[in-house]
Amino acid sequence: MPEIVLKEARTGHDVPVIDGVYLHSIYNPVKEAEAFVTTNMSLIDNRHQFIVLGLGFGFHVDQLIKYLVSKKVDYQIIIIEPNLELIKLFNQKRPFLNNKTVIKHLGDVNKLYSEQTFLNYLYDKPSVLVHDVSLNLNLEMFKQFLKYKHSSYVRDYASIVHPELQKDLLKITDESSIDDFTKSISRLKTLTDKKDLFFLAFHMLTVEVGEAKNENSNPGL
Amino acid sequence: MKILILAYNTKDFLSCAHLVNQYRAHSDRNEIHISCFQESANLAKLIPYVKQVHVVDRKKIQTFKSRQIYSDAHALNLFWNALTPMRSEVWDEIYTYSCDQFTALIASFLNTKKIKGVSFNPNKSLHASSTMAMLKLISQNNASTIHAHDLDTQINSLPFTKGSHLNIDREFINLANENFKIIRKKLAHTKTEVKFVGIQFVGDDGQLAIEEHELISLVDSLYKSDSYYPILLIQGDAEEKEVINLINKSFNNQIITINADLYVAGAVLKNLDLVICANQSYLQLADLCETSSLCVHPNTSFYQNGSSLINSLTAVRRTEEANIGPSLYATIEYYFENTKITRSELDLYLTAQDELGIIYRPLYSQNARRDIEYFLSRQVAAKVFAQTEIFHAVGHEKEMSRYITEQKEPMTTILRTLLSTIRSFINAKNSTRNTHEFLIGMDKLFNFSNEKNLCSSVVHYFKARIENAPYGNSEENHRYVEKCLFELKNNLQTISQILVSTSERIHRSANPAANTKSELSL
Repeated sequence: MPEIVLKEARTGHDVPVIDGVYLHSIYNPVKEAEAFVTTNMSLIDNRHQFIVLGLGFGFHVDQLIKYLVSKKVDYQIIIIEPNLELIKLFNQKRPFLNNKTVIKHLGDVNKLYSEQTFLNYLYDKPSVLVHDVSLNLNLEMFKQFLKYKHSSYVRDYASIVHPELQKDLLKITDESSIDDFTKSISRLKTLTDKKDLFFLAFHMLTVEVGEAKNENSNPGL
Repeated sequence: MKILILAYNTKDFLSCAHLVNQYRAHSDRNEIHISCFQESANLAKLIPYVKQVHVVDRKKIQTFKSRQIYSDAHALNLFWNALTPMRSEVWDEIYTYSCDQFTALIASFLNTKKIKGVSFNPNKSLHASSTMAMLKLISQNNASTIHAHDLDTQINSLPFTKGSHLNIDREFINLANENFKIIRKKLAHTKTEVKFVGIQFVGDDGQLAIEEHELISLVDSLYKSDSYYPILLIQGDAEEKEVINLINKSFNNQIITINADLYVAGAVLKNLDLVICANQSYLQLADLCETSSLCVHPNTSFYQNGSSLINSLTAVRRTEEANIGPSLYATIEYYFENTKITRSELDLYLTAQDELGIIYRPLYSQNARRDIEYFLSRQVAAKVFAQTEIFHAVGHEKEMSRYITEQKEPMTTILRTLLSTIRSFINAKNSTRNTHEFLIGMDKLFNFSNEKNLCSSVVHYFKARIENAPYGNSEENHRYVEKCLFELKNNLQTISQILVSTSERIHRSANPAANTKSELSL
């Protein structure tokens, strides 16, 4: 990991420098951060959940929080930052004071996308704001994050499935998806396990569009 | 008893309130739970006597499954967790209110002593707890002439009980009452004994069921009348707001519009004397609030899910082009003042009741064919599926005679095919040629269920029974198929008898003198 050097801006604020790149303006990081909010206003206004790509040293996030508090918005912010040392330094020097703003270390992308709470947060479609300097410094990591795709093979995710379902899914070692697995259940003549009904219902719920369809011409499975 | 109602249908979710009332009326010690999709969760809070609502967030599960940033594991876990509280109970009874395959899977997956409705056999065939449950299953596209409440009453074997109240927030009720009192006071100097007519104009498909020019015409008539006052009802979407702006321009912002989602709309409905509505959920809410409705239907399939409140009205457009505003106003005058309807661009039906349950009597209808099909199909359904004799004089004797004549050919074809299929079936044990002919015959019979005639309901029922043969071994299946074939034969003969007796009635009413003479001679 490249070394982080802290330099003092003209305003007296600490500005980290990584590989010769200043993470914020050395003249006035606060003014620069205000401009960040103004530039991204279309993504900020009328929203209350945010993902910020890049911690920098938090000035842009401070201004975002300031704006949201002034609008009395009940906000939540998740910051995605690949540099663990930067996170540690930030938390030492100028940590966020409440749990409405959370920093997530982008170390293992698979691990991040396996966290249920993070996925629930993504489901609510937060607004995504980009700290350009951080993005450019860690382009490959952020690309991985933005283009991430989970494996659809059961063998790759069976370990994070509910323990009661694992028994059935851990048996699958080939390149089968859950849809392949449920198709194999539907080819059985009889159902031997109640969980077969669960998998068939799951398939019906997720493969059919809209209401679970009852195909009158072939009501059986 | 611990009862779980599985209600995964979002369009007519609110109707399950009647089912809850039935269970509650049967015993106030019944503990009633409902499971529904997230979309219905808010409406579920309106239903009284429900101990707990178990929500399945279908959209979230589907999103987790379809988008690759989410693992399928999370979709599975979400679904499993949603079912876990229900799985941990042993239910005395599960009622599959949304009578479809998905609901049957859930019902069979959970632990219960009894399932009313549909479930799965171990051999993966669908099992219906009764004839009516099978009928409800195959009528998913509103094809039944028996109302959904009556189907549920028969499946449940509990008497139909009207809802007594909804769990509407007291605060909303008080606010609505206060506001309407104020409006009445303001109107007192221009309109005595004013009747508030609510107008909800967006259909289930999200499109305008009553066009702007029709609304303007209707609102104008109501606004200028001495006795009525229009209240526009919206749920806040962009298209509705656009229409409201247009109306406000035309009426100088004098027309009252109430923007309320279904969760609070009940408080408003209770203050209305009549509501004109176009969407299923609003209609069900009106029924539960015991507010009479005039439902504007886009097509004829309202028999299964129309209003169940006696004396409510259903209107079906006769053409797309005509302005129905004046016709709606004429219907309102009929409803309140019994004014005769001499001309209408709508076919109008009145909710009434007969031995089978809810029936829609034509009040003003120019579609004789539709009415004949409805009444005869209902007569068939009553006799075949509910062993009940019902008869309603439809009139339109000429059209009825024509209809009966038209039914003879398909009936003859089906019977001929059936008899040859039965012959092949009986001889199939001895010859593969007969087996082959039997299979061809069955295929032909199944295809008849797609045709539109008086026999299609019984053929469809037959097909569903065959496709869901419950037995694993060939001998039991053989006996089962034989039973179904002869059951179809009996049902077709019942239809034939109905057609014959109807013909005789028409003939008798056309020749009263001949009948009297023949009676005298006897």
